[in-house]
Amino acid sequence: MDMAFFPHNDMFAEAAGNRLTASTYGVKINDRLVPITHYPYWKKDFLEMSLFEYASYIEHDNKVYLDDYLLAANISPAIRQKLSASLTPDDIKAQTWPFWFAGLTGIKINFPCKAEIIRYNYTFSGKRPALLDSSAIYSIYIAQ
Amino acid sequence: MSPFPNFSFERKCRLIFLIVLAEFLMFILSGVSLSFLNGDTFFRIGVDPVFWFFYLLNIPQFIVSHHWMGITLDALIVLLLVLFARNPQQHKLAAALFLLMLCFYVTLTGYLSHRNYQIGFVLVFIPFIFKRKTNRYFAYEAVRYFLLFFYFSSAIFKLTGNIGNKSTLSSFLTGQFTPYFLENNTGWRTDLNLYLIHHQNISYVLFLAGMLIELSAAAGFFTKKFDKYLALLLILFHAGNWILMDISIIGQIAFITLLFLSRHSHKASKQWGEQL
Repeated sequence: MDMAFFPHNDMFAEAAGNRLTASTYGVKINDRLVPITHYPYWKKDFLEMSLFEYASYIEHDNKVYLDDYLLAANISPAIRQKLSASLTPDDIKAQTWPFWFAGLTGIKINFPCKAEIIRYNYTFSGKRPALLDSSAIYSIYIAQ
Repeated sequence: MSPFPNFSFERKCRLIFLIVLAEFLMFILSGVSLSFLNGDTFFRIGVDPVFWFFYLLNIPQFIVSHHWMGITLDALIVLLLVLFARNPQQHKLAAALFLLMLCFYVTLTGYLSHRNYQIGFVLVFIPFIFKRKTNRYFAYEAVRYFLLFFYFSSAIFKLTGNIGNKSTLSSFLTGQFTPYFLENNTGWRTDLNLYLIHHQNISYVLFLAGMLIELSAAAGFFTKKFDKYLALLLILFHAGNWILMDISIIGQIAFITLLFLSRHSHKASKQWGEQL
Protein backbone atom coordinates (compact mmCIF):
# COMPACT_ATOMS: atom_id res chain seq x y z
CA MET A 1 0.00 0.00 0.00
CA ASP A 2 1.08 3.53 -0.66
CA MET A 3 -0.80 5.95 1.54
CA ALA A 4 0.15 8.80 3.84
CA PHE A 5 -0.49 6.88 7.05
CA PHE A 6 0.46 3.50 5.71
CA PRO A 7 3.31 4.20 3.38
CA HIS A 8 4.95 1.63 1.19
CA ASN A 9 5.07 -1.29 3.58
CA ASP A 10 4.84 -3.60 0.59
CA MET A 11 8.16 -2.21 -0.59
CA PHE A 12 10.33 -4.95 -2.09
CA ALA A 13 7.53 -7.50 -1.72
CA GLU A 14 6.52 -7.46 -5.38
CA ALA A 15 7.93 -10.00 -7.82
CA ALA A 16 11.18 -8.63 -9.20
CA GLY A 17 12.00 -11.41 -11.66
CA ASN A 18 15.66 -12.02 -12.30
CA ARG A 19 16.73 -8.74 -13.81
CA LEU A 20 20.25 -7.53 -14.45
CA THR A 21 19.36 -4.18 -15.98
CA ALA A 22 18.41 -0.85 -14.44
CA SER A 23 17.62 2.67 -15.60
CA THR A 24 18.34 6.01 -14.10
CA TYR A 25 17.88 9.62 -15.15
CA GLY A 26 20.12 12.64 -15.17
CA VAL A 27 19.67 16.36 -15.79
CA LYS A 28 22.15 18.10 -18.05
CA ILE A 29 22.51 21.86 -17.97
CA ASN A 30 24.33 23.16 -21.04
CA ASP A 31 25.52 19.58 -21.70
CA ARG A 32 26.96 19.10 -18.21
CA LEU A 33 25.45 16.44 -15.92
CA VAL A 34 24.10 17.78 -12.61
CA PRO A 35 25.59 15.57 -9.85
CA ILE A 36 23.28 14.52 -7.01
CA THR A 37 24.77 11.58 -5.14
CA HIS A 38 27.26 13.46 -2.96
CA TYR A 39 24.48 15.23 -1.02
CA PRO A 40 23.18 14.10 2.40
CA TYR A 41 20.58 11.37 2.13
CA TRP A 42 17.36 13.37 2.04
CA LYS A 43 18.55 15.81 -0.60
CA LYS A 44 19.96 13.01 -2.73
CA ASP A 45 16.69 11.09 -2.32
CA PHE A 46 14.67 14.18 -3.18
CA LEU A 47 16.73 14.87 -6.30
CA GLU A 48 16.73 11.25 -7.44
CA MET A 49 13.07 10.43 -6.82
CA SER A 50 11.55 13.70 -8.01
CA LEU A 51 13.64 13.45 -11.19
CA PHE A 52 12.45 9.86 -11.68
CA GLU A 53 8.81 10.95 -11.35
CA TYR A 54 9.30 14.00 -13.55
CA ALA A 55 10.84 11.77 -16.21
CA SER A 56 7.83 9.41 -15.90
CA TYR A 57 5.57 12.44 -16.33
CA ILE A 58 7.44 13.44 -19.50
CA GLU A 59 7.41 9.88 -20.85
CA HIS A 60 3.64 9.66 -20.29
CA ASP A 61 2.72 12.70 -22.38
CA ASN A 62 2.93 15.18 -19.52
CA LYS A 63 0.51 13.25 -17.33
CA VAL A 64 0.71 12.07 -13.75
CA TYR A 65 -1.30 9.14 -12.40
CA LEU A 66 -4.07 11.39 -11.07
CA ASP A 67 -4.72 12.77 -14.57
CA ASP A 68 -5.73 9.29 -15.72
CA TYR A 69 -7.53 8.55 -12.47
CA LEU A 70 -9.68 11.69 -12.63
CA LEU A 71 -10.43 11.06 -16.31
CA ALA A 72 -11.72 7.58 -15.49
CA ALA A 73 -13.66 8.70 -12.41
CA ASN A 74 -17.43 9.10 -12.72
CA ILE A 75 -17.57 12.82 -11.92
CA SER A 76 -18.81 15.91 -13.72
CA PRO A 77 -16.34 17.75 -16.00
CA ALA A 78 -16.55 20.85 -13.78
CA ILE A 79 -15.53 18.92 -10.66
CA ARG A 80 -12.86 17.07 -12.61
CA GLN A 81 -11.40 20.37 -13.78
CA LYS A 82 -11.42 21.78 -10.26
CA LEU A 83 -9.78 18.68 -8.80
CA SER A 84 -7.25 18.57 -11.61
CA ALA A 85 -6.27 22.19 -11.03
CA SER A 86 -5.31 21.51 -7.41
CA LEU A 87 -4.17 17.90 -7.47
CA THR A 88 -2.01 17.78 -10.59
CA PRO A 89 0.94 19.97 -11.59
CA ASP A 90 0.51 22.92 -13.94
CA ASP A 91 1.79 21.80 -17.37
CA ILE A 92 3.18 25.22 -18.30
CA LYS A 93 5.00 25.79 -15.02
CA ALA A 94 6.31 22.21 -14.98
CA GLN A 95 8.16 22.82 -18.27
CA THR A 96 10.89 24.76 -16.50
CA TRP A 97 11.25 22.28 -13.62
CA PRO A 98 14.74 21.05 -14.73
CA PHE A 99 16.06 24.58 -14.11
CA TRP A 100 14.57 24.58 -10.61
CA PHE A 101 16.12 21.14 -10.05
CA ALA A 102 19.55 22.42 -11.06
CA GLY A 103 19.10 25.49 -8.87
CA LEU A 104 18.44 23.27 -5.84
CA THR A 105 21.87 21.73 -6.32
CA GLY A 106 23.43 25.19 -6.21
CA ILE A 107 24.00 25.64 -9.92
CA LYS A 108 23.49 29.24 -10.97
CA ILE A 109 21.38 29.40 -14.12
CA ASN A 110 22.39 32.11 -16.57
CA PHE A 111 20.28 32.47 -19.68
CA PRO A 112 20.51 31.51 -22.50
CA CYS A 113 20.49 28.02 -21.07
CA LYS A 114 19.64 24.50 -22.23
CA ALA A 115 18.34 21.76 -19.97
CA GLU A 116 17.94 18.10 -20.89
CA ILE A 117 16.63 15.02 -19.15
CA ILE A 118 18.63 11.94 -20.13
CA ARG A 119 17.62 8.35 -19.56
CA TYR A 120 20.52 5.95 -18.97
CA ASN A 121 20.14 2.18 -19.25
CA TYR A 122 22.67 -0.01 -17.43
CA THR A 123 23.45 -3.70 -17.47
CA PHE A 124 24.84 -5.51 -14.44
CA SER A 125 25.61 -8.75 -16.26
CA GLY A 126 29.36 -8.14 -16.14
CA LYS A 127 31.61 -7.66 -13.16
CA ARG A 128 31.09 -3.89 -13.28
CA PRO A 129 27.92 -2.12 -14.45
CA ALA A 130 28.08 -1.00 -18.06
CA LEU A 131 26.09 1.70 -19.81
CA LEU A 132 23.96 0.12 -22.53
CA ASP A 133 22.57 3.30 -24.04
CA SER A 134 21.32 6.77 -23.23
CA SER A 135 18.72 9.03 -24.78
CA ALA A 136 17.40 12.53 -24.23
CA ILE A 137 13.70 12.35 -23.32
CA TYR A 138 13.21 16.09 -22.80
CA SER A 139 14.96 19.23 -23.82
CA ILE A 140 14.21 22.89 -23.17
CA TYR A 141 16.11 25.98 -24.27
CA ILE A 142 15.41 29.37 -22.80
CA ALA A 143 17.03 32.35 -24.48
CA GLN A 144 16.40 34.87 -21.74
CA MET B 1 20.40 -7.19 34.78
CA SER B 2 18.97 -5.10 31.96
CA PRO B 3 21.49 -3.74 29.44
CA PHE B 4 19.31 -0.62 29.12
CA PRO B 5 19.72 2.46 31.35
CA ASN B 6 16.87 2.88 33.81
CA PHE B 7 15.72 6.35 32.83
CA SER B 8 12.59 7.89 34.27
CA PHE B 9 9.51 8.11 32.07
CA GLU B 10 9.80 11.85 31.66
CA ARG B 11 13.47 11.63 30.72
CA LYS B 12 12.70 9.00 28.10
CA CYS B 13 10.01 11.25 26.61
CA ARG B 14 12.46 14.15 26.48
CA LEU B 15 15.04 11.98 24.73
CA ILE B 16 12.48 10.80 22.17
CA PHE B 17 11.56 14.37 21.26
CA LEU B 18 15.18 15.43 21.16
CA ILE B 19 15.57 12.68 18.55
CA VAL B 20 12.60 14.15 16.63
CA LEU B 21 14.32 17.53 16.82
CA ALA B 22 17.58 16.02 15.53
CA GLU B 23 15.68 14.32 12.71
CA PHE B 24 14.00 17.55 11.67
CA LEU B 25 17.34 19.38 11.80
CA MET B 26 18.65 16.67 9.46
CA PHE B 27 15.91 17.60 6.98
CA ILE B 28 16.98 21.24 7.23
CA LEU B 29 20.71 20.49 7.00
CA SER B 30 20.09 18.17 4.05
CA GLY B 31 18.37 21.04 2.27
CA VAL B 32 14.86 19.63 1.83
CA SER B 33 12.84 21.35 4.54
CA LEU B 34 9.96 23.66 3.60
CA SER B 35 12.12 26.71 2.97
CA PHE B 36 14.25 24.84 0.41
CA LEU B 37 11.25 23.73 -1.66
CA ASN B 38 10.55 27.32 -2.68
CA GLY B 39 9.64 27.63 -6.36
CA ASP B 40 9.24 23.91 -7.08
CA THR B 41 6.86 23.49 -10.03
CA PHE B 42 6.30 19.74 -10.08
CA PHE B 43 4.50 17.49 -7.64
CA ARG B 44 2.80 14.13 -7.88
CA ILE B 45 0.33 12.83 -5.35
CA GLY B 46 -1.65 9.61 -5.19
CA VAL B 47 -5.28 8.74 -4.57
CA ASP B 48 -5.22 9.50 -0.89
CA PRO B 49 -7.66 11.73 1.03
CA VAL B 50 -4.92 13.01 3.35
CA PHE B 51 -2.93 14.40 0.43
CA TRP B 52 -6.09 15.58 -1.34
CA PHE B 53 -7.24 17.52 1.73
CA PHE B 54 -4.02 19.54 1.91
CA TYR B 55 -3.61 20.04 -1.85
CA LEU B 56 -7.28 20.99 -2.42
CA LEU B 57 -6.82 23.70 0.17
CA ASN B 58 -3.68 24.74 -1.73
CA ILE B 59 -1.63 24.62 1.47
CA PRO B 60 1.53 22.92 0.09
CA GLN B 61 1.33 25.02 -3.08
CA PHE B 62 1.08 28.22 -1.02
CA ILE B 63 4.04 27.26 1.20
CA VAL B 64 6.21 26.35 -1.78
CA SER B 65 5.40 29.54 -3.67
CA HIS B 66 6.04 31.87 -0.68
CA HIS B 67 9.58 31.64 0.59
CA TRP B 68 8.87 33.57 3.78
CA MET B 69 6.21 31.01 4.69
CA GLY B 70 8.63 28.10 4.31
CA ILE B 71 11.26 29.83 6.44
CA THR B 72 8.67 30.79 9.08
CA LEU B 73 7.29 27.26 9.34
CA ASP B 74 10.78 25.70 9.54
CA ALA B 75 11.70 28.08 12.35
CA LEU B 76 8.37 27.54 14.12
CA ILE B 77 8.73 23.75 14.04
CA VAL B 78 12.26 23.94 15.51
CA LEU B 79 11.12 26.35 18.23
CA LEU B 80 8.10 24.25 19.21
CA LEU B 81 10.19 21.06 19.21
CA VAL B 82 12.69 22.66 21.61
CA LEU B 83 9.86 23.75 23.90
CA PHE B 84 8.14 20.38 23.72
CA ALA B 85 11.33 18.41 24.37
CA ARG B 86 11.75 20.47 27.56
CA ASN B 87 8.25 19.64 28.72
CA PRO B 88 6.38 16.80 26.96
CA GLN B 89 3.30 17.39 29.15
CA GLN B 90 2.11 20.23 26.93
CA HIS B 91 -0.58 18.47 24.91
CA LYS B 92 -1.49 21.59 22.94
CA LEU B 93 2.10 21.86 21.71
CA ALA B 94 1.94 18.18 20.73
CA ALA B 95 -1.23 18.83 18.71
CA ALA B 96 0.34 21.84 16.98
CA LEU B 97 3.49 19.87 16.18
CA PHE B 98 1.45 16.93 14.87
CA LEU B 99 -0.34 19.23 12.40
CA LEU B 100 2.83 21.08 11.38
CA MET B 101 4.77 17.86 10.87
CA LEU B 102 1.87 16.33 8.90
CA CYS B 103 1.82 19.44 6.71
CA PHE B 104 5.60 19.12 6.21
CA TYR B 105 5.30 15.38 5.43
CA VAL B 106 2.51 15.92 2.89
CA THR B 107 4.38 18.80 1.24
CA LEU B 108 7.76 17.04 1.16
CA THR B 109 6.48 13.72 -0.11
CA GLY B 110 4.12 15.38 -2.62
CA TYR B 111 6.96 17.37 -4.17
CA LEU B 112 9.41 14.51 -3.66
CA SER B 113 6.80 12.58 -5.69
CA HIS B 114 7.41 9.54 -3.52
CA ARG B 115 5.77 8.28 -0.35
CA ASN B 116 8.45 7.09 2.01
CA TYR B 117 7.83 5.03 5.08
CA GLN B 118 9.31 7.76 7.33
CA ILE B 119 6.02 9.07 8.63
CA GLY B 120 7.20 8.16 12.14
CA PHE B 121 8.19 11.76 12.87
CA VAL B 122 4.49 12.66 12.51
CA LEU B 123 2.90 9.70 14.30
CA VAL B 124 5.20 9.97 17.32
CA PHE B 125 3.12 12.91 18.60
CA ILE B 126 -0.23 11.12 18.67
CA PRO B 127 -0.10 9.71 22.25
CA PHE B 128 0.93 13.13 23.55
CA ILE B 129 -1.86 15.23 22.07
CA PHE B 130 -4.52 14.08 24.54
CA LYS B 131 -5.24 15.85 27.80
CA ARG B 132 -6.99 13.02 29.68
CA LYS B 133 -4.72 10.31 31.08
CA THR B 134 -6.78 7.37 29.87
CA ASN B 135 -6.96 8.84 26.36
CA ARG B 136 -3.17 9.19 26.34
CA TYR B 137 -2.79 5.61 27.41
CA PHE B 138 -5.16 4.26 24.76
CA ALA B 139 -3.58 6.47 22.10
CA TYR B 140 -0.15 5.12 23.04
CA GLU B 141 -1.43 1.55 22.84
CA ALA B 142 -2.98 2.23 19.43
CA VAL B 143 0.21 3.80 18.07
CA ARG B 144 2.32 0.96 19.48
CA TYR B 145 0.10 -1.61 17.76
CA PHE B 146 0.20 0.37 14.52
CA LEU B 147 4.01 0.44 14.68
CA LEU B 148 4.18 -3.32 15.24
CA PHE B 149 1.56 -4.03 12.59
CA PHE B 150 3.35 -1.80 10.09
CA TYR B 151 6.49 -3.94 10.20
CA PHE B 152 4.67 -7.24 10.67
CA SER B 153 2.43 -6.63 7.65
CA SER B 154 5.49 -5.76 5.59
CA ALA B 155 6.87 -9.23 6.40
CA ILE B 156 3.52 -10.80 5.48
CA PHE B 157 3.60 -9.00 2.11
CA LYS B 158 7.03 -10.52 1.48
CA LEU B 159 5.98 -13.96 2.71
CA THR B 160 3.02 -14.03 0.35
CA GLY B 161 4.80 -12.21 -2.46
CA ASN B 162 8.31 -13.16 -3.40
CA ILE B 163 9.62 -15.38 -0.62
CA GLY B 164 10.33 -18.25 -3.02
CA ASN B 165 12.44 -16.22 -5.43
CA LYS B 166 16.11 -16.40 -4.50
CA SER B 167 17.05 -13.59 -6.84
CA THR B 168 14.63 -11.11 -5.24
CA LEU B 169 17.08 -8.93 -3.35
CA SER B 170 19.74 -9.17 -6.07
CA SER B 171 17.19 -7.93 -8.62
CA PHE B 172 16.06 -5.04 -6.44
CA LEU B 173 19.66 -4.07 -5.73
CA THR B 174 20.38 -3.40 -9.42
CA GLY B 175 18.35 -0.20 -9.25
CA GLN B 176 19.38 1.10 -5.85
CA PHE B 177 22.80 2.56 -6.62
CA THR B 178 22.58 3.27 -10.36
CA PRO B 179 22.93 7.07 -9.97
CA TYR B 180 26.17 6.49 -8.04
CA PHE B 181 27.56 4.46 -10.96
CA LEU B 182 26.43 7.14 -13.41
CA GLU B 183 28.45 9.75 -11.49
CA ASN B 184 31.37 7.41 -10.72
CA ASN B 185 30.74 8.12 -7.04
CA THR B 186 31.66 4.65 -5.89
CA GLY B 187 32.94 3.18 -2.62
CA TRP B 188 32.39 0.30 -0.22
CA ARG B 189 28.60 0.45 -0.43
CA THR B 190 28.58 0.26 -4.25
CA ASP B 191 31.18 -2.57 -4.06
CA LEU B 192 28.91 -4.41 -1.63
CA ASN B 193 25.97 -3.70 -3.92
CA LEU B 194 27.77 -5.34 -6.86
CA TYR B 195 28.88 -8.28 -4.72
CA LEU B 196 25.31 -8.98 -3.61
CA ILE B 197 23.94 -8.61 -7.14
CA HIS B 198 26.28 -11.37 -8.25
CA HIS B 199 25.92 -13.57 -5.14
CA GLN B 200 22.22 -14.31 -5.01
CA ASN B 201 22.38 -16.87 -2.19
CA ILE B 202 24.01 -14.41 0.18
CA SER B 203 21.60 -11.63 -0.70
CA TYR B 204 18.70 -14.07 -0.27
CA VAL B 205 19.90 -14.87 3.27
CA LEU B 206 19.99 -11.14 4.04
CA PHE B 207 16.51 -10.76 2.57
CA LEU B 208 15.22 -13.54 4.84
CA ALA B 209 17.01 -12.02 7.86
CA GLY B 210 15.34 -8.66 7.22
CA MET B 211 11.97 -10.32 6.82
CA LEU B 212 12.44 -12.27 10.08
CA ILE B 213 13.18 -9.04 11.94
CA GLU B 214 9.98 -7.53 10.55
CA LEU B 215 8.12 -10.71 11.46
CA SER B 216 9.47 -10.58 15.03
CA ALA B 217 7.32 -7.47 15.60
CA ALA B 218 4.46 -9.97 16.03
CA ALA B 219 5.88 -10.83 19.47
CA GLY B 220 4.73 -7.40 20.59
CA PHE B 221 1.09 -8.37 19.96
CA PHE B 222 1.30 -10.79 22.90
CA THR B 223 3.77 -9.27 25.34
CA LYS B 224 5.60 -6.02 26.05
CA LYS B 225 8.56 -7.76 27.64
CA PHE B 226 10.63 -7.68 24.47
CA ASP B 227 9.75 -4.18 23.26
CA LYS B 228 13.23 -2.75 23.88
CA TYR B 229 14.81 -5.59 21.95
CA LEU B 230 12.28 -5.19 19.16
CA ALA B 231 13.18 -1.50 18.97
CA LEU B 232 16.87 -2.34 18.68
CA LEU B 233 16.17 -4.99 16.03
CA LEU B 234 14.07 -2.58 13.98
CA ILE B 235 16.77 0.10 14.18
CA LEU B 236 19.28 -2.56 13.08
CA PHE B 237 16.95 -3.45 10.21
CA HIS B 238 16.85 0.18 9.07
CA ALA B 239 20.64 0.49 9.40
CA GLY B 240 20.91 -2.51 7.07
CA ASN B 241 18.46 -0.84 4.70
CA TRP B 242 20.70 2.21 4.52
CA ILE B 243 23.82 0.14 3.80
CA LEU B 244 22.24 -2.22 1.28
CA MET B 245 19.42 -0.22 -0.27
CA ASP B 246 20.43 3.41 0.34
CA ILE B 247 17.20 4.04 2.25
CA SER B 248 17.75 6.14 5.34
CA ILE B 249 16.24 5.68 8.79
CA ILE B 250 16.12 9.44 9.46
CA GLY B 251 12.51 10.27 10.24
CA GLN B 252 11.67 6.92 11.79
CA ILE B 253 14.06 6.57 14.75
CA ALA B 254 12.02 8.49 17.34
CA PHE B 255 8.88 6.59 16.37
CA ILE B 256 10.56 3.24 16.98
CA THR B 257 11.94 4.40 20.31
CA LEU B 258 8.34 4.81 21.52
CA LEU B 259 8.67 1.10 22.26
CA PHE B 260 10.98 2.05 25.15
CA LEU B 261 7.96 3.60 26.89
CA SER B 262 5.89 0.43 26.95
CA ARG B 263 7.24 -0.73 30.33
CA HIS B 264 5.40 2.16 31.86
CA SER B 265 2.09 0.98 30.46
CA HIS B 266 2.85 -2.65 31.31
CA LYS B 267 2.29 -2.31 35.05
CA ALA B 268 -0.98 -0.46 35.06
CA SER B 269 -2.95 1.15 32.30
CA LYS B 270 -3.38 4.46 34.12
CA GLN B 271 0.23 4.78 35.21
CA TRP B 272 1.42 5.75 31.75
CA GLY B 273 -0.89 8.71 31.68
CA GLU B 274 -0.17 9.74 35.25
CA GLN B 275 3.55 9.82 34.68
CA LEU B 276 3.12 12.06 31.72
